[in-house]
Amino acid sequence: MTTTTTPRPLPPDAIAGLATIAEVCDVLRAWGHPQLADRLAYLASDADLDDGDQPATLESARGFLAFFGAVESVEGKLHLGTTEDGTICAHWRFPDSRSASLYFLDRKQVDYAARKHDGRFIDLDRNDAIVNLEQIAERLVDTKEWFTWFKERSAAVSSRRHTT
Amino acid sequence: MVQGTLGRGELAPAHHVARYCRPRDIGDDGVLIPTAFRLCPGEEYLSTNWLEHFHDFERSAQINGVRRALVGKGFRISRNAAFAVLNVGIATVLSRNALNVAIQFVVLGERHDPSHTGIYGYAAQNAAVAEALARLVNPTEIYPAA
Repeated sequence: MTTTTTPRPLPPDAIAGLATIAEVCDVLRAWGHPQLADRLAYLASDADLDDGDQPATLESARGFLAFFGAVESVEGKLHLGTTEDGTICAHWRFPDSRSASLYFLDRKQVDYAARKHDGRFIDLDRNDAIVNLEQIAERLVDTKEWFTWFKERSAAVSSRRHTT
Repeated sequence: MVQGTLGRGELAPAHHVARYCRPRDIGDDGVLIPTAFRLCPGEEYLSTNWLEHFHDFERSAQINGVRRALVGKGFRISRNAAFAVLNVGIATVLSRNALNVAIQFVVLGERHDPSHTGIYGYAAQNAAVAEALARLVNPTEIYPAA
């Protein structure tokens, strides 16, 4: 039996240390997501690029890895795409009207759109001037519509809460 | 006024447009990713093509017309790209009701591509409108672009 030695979520300094998208793909494979890794490798390649399009950027891939490593979604199916400038979009579709899309502008900044059961879009900014990826992840999980914390983090959070 | 349009070149609700979707806008199993409807920084409108300009109702003739129009102005269509079809009225109502955003489908009046239509009005709510429009596309209304 093999066991993974790649922690999930990956610590921020380890994410910052990933030097290529191929290394990001290796982490996804180590977490048991080879198809996702293949898709990311495709998005980072020159295949099928339209005129003016850029391949997926490393900073965006780092942001995606940080988010994907921290959360999980039982019902949502993940699809990856890129914008013209190489920003990775992670798009989760659910069997009902829910959906969530995150655009990883870099390792810390994210743009998003998330739709709830009732079809309404949620505003996670809450009038804050600057909202980073970590805050958006927390607010998405807190809403209890799309994601839960990945179980290891969930246990850690729970443990912290019990000690305070 | 162009037939099928309201004042100022706006398309009538019963009409349709096709959006060119890059291969990277389409997921592994054919799912349309909202990047297909996301505006690039600085873009004032999202480019689409008005289908009823080419034929009143026959979809294959309409899609062929869009292909010809794009190729005719030097646009390179990727082998794995697709056209996603949107109904003007449904898209307009949905975006108004779900997001309180008034989008408009405006025929741009280009001599070399009279079908060229811009979707205006959603730059500030870019991600949410892109999400809503992508979800609105019926999977049976996604056609190979090449």
